[in-house]
Amino acid sequence: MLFSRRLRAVAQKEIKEIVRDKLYLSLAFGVPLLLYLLFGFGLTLDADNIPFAVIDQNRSPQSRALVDRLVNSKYFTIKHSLDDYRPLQEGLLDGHIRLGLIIPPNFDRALFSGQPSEIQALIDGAFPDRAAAILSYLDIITREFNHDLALPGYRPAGPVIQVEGRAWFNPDLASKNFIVPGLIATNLFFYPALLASIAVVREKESGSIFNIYCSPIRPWEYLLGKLLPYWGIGFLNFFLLALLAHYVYHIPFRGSFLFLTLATLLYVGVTTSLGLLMSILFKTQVAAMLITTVITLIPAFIYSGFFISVPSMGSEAQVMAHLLPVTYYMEIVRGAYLKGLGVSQYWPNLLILLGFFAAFFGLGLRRLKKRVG
Amino acid sequence: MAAAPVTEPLIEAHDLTRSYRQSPAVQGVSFTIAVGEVFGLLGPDGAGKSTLMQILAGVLLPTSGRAQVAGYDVAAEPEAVKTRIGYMPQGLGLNLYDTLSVAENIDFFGDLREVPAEVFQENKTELLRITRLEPFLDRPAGQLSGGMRQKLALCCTLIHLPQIIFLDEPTTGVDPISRRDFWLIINRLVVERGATVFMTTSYMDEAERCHRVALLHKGRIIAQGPTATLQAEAGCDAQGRPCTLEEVFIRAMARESVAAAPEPATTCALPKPEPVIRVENLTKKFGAFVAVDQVSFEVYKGEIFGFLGPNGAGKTTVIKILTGILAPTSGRGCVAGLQIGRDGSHIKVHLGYMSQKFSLYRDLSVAENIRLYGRVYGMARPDLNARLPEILSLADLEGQGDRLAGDLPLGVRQRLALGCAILHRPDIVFLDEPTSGVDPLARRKFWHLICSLAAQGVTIMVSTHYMDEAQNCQRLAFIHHGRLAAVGAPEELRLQAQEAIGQHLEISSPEFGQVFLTLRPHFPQAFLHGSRIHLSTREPEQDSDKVRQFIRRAGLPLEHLVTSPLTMEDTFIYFIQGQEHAV
Repeated sequence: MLFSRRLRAVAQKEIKEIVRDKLYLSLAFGVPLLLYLLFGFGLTLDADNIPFAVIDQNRSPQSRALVDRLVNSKYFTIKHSLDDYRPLQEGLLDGHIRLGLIIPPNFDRALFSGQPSEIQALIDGAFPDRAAAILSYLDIITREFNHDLALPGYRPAGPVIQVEGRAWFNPDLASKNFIVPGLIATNLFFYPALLASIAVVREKESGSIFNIYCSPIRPWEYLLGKLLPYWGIGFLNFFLLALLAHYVYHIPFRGSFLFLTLATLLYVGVTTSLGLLMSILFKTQVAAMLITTVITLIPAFIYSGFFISVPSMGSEAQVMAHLLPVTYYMEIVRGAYLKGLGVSQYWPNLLILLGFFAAFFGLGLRRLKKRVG
Repeated sequence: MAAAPVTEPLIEAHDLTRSYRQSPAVQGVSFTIAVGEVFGLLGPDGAGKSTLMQILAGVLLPTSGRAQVAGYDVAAEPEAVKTRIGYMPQGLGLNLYDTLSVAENIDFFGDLREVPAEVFQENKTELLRITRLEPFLDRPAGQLSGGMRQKLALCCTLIHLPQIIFLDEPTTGVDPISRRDFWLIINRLVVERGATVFMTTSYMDEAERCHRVALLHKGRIIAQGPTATLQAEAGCDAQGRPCTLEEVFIRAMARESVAAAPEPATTCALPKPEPVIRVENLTKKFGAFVAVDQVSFEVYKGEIFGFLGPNGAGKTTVIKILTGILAPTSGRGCVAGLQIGRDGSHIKVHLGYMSQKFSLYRDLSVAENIRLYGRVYGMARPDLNARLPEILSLADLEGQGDRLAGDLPLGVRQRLALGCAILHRPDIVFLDEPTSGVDPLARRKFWHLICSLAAQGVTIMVSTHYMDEAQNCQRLAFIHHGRLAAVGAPEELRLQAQEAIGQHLEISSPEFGQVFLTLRPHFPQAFLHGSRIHLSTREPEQDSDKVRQFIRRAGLPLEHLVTSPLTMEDTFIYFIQGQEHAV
């Protein structure tokens, strides 16, 4: 028998309690799924179908051609063609348009005379990333427009050298290919920790911890027995998330799934034992859950490289990033999905994760005294 | 271990002290427990009972002093101690797993203790049989009644049949029938298996069932010795009966603190039969659960009316309905001439209510608490100012209005809470378990206060699960499983029960265990009450002769054989059993 009878008793009891607590069980699998879907669909960094309105004071074939280019791109959707500034302002204010384009009366004349022709773009700048995206799309479209015009008497003013860029690993530059694997890392950081954070403290609150204090069970048997069921739930969650990544988000997977699975097994062990440690340190469920959420959920999104890559962070943030297990797994999961990288690249990450596991579990073991107070 | 010489103490505590942030919970406590003894640590809430038990179980380090259990030092070798004891922590079955069935709970404890499979099966069968839990094997622990939870917790604690059994307040709030069952089990283990029991309790009458007791007050032992000796030393009461342990406790406390021991509260003159509360067929359901079932009774003006029953019997629910906090599902009731459920806010002006546990704000001062209550009840400022010193003197808190309520001793706090409840001069006062966990001296003072209020014409309705407190009421209602089993004056009810089931023969002998085993085949109703044997009989003369004969034939010594009247607990059990047969 691999484990002692006492350890198995603890694990089996824990599983029974989890399975019979219908609310807890549905939360255990429901919440990560919900978060995954919410973030996966909602948190795309691509700006598509930006609603815009135009005030075309020129009404020439040239001005219409420019507007058509916007309309025909997948990035913009025209909402209104207006004569007046007022509704445009209102539209930007209430957010049903994000861009107002104003083409001056002398637009075509200026083009034909070889003068620089100016158009005004009013952009909703409330969300800077989106504003920047709108501006750069607009820039590309107008540049192409300039280039293709080739009107008599018009010389392209732009650079002669054109960069023909190709984005490797993510040729469509679809942010979901980047976000969704990232979400696997952040979800599996905070949620298994949160689930495990009540494991011990719940027994402290109910009083059943006395059974453990007063019995001959060894602390490591108790802790491992407690850890295994939550570890299992976290691991099952991984498969659920991976399935969704494939069937719902259609994220291409380039690496070895076996490698990712084993790395995830280790990673979930790390995050579960972090939650268990919190459960040992605190006296009430509320405190344990709150602290676990604060130290996992927020850093998982901010410092892990989820949004901003770690090397481009400030130096303090980089230190923070390297203190979090999620950062190391983030590299592994994105590498596996996007670049097809595996153990030969990421074995140091695995070693570091192993170190985290030993530290969290060891600290938990040290702090679990079979004593009151 | 059973063969160990009796002279060698099995458990030894020497000068134990434990402090929490400078304030001592236990101070210089020493005692020994011999093999085969039932040793009781008796004291009110906060006396330090659990702290001591936890130290001896190896789950709490003493600040100083040392202790040994079965030859192992509890601080140095706690794990060795833990394998040798069974420990049932405080709180009714709080250590059980509610979603696990009865069988699964027992299995878990068996696994935790790694009881070998055959031994486990044997123990499990035996324990389930004597606790009568077999029919409920598949029921989740969360759906058991209080008494059944306590029995299951006992099964789990005893699954490895430890020779040393630690029980922390095993019967607090448990119904008397379950309590009687509990003692049958304990006595069997002691008599038949030579087990040693170390238990704590806050029930004075229960401690009389222990062979030896230590009375613990404010972390110190104020008296200890064989129960019978302590009682004998304290003398006899007016009727020539030996002192109760409560009396022993109060005298010991009085020795400690110069204060004179007050006499027990005596019930005042009977009130005029002018009903101020009348309830007819009151029923309250919570979903499918019937908390109060067709309850009818009357309470008269100036009466002290007691509501006696175990936890979960429905006492609090009835009081909440009468005070208008809960609406009844069906039935009618009048309080102070007003219909309950209809004239809610009008009723409240006439009522004072002191809730279970602590109804004061701990971080407000004494005076602030009183003023808060006054304002809530809409008292005018001059009236409130005039009333404040009265309430302070009632609570023995003259000149201490600035103390934080949370810093007061439990007994004083309860007096203050009562003061707040009567601040607005209500006609009727409801007291919901006002003396739970309070030390006996404070409890006695509290009852004096209640009596003097009643003498002023205030009607008092008080709920309690202390059987011995029932004597202080003028009339009593026994409540069990939401139904009234009997209503009447305490003495009247006791005599009714005595007529039906007879009196007790009380047998004492230095060889009480052997005597008990000898008598049991002939008198199946015999049970051990501490180091004495109780036997209920309707023919005391005849049965006394028989008992003498059996003991003589077995060659055993006999110390005393006396008849003693039924206790309130016996009376209660008689009536609720009658009710259960009727259903």
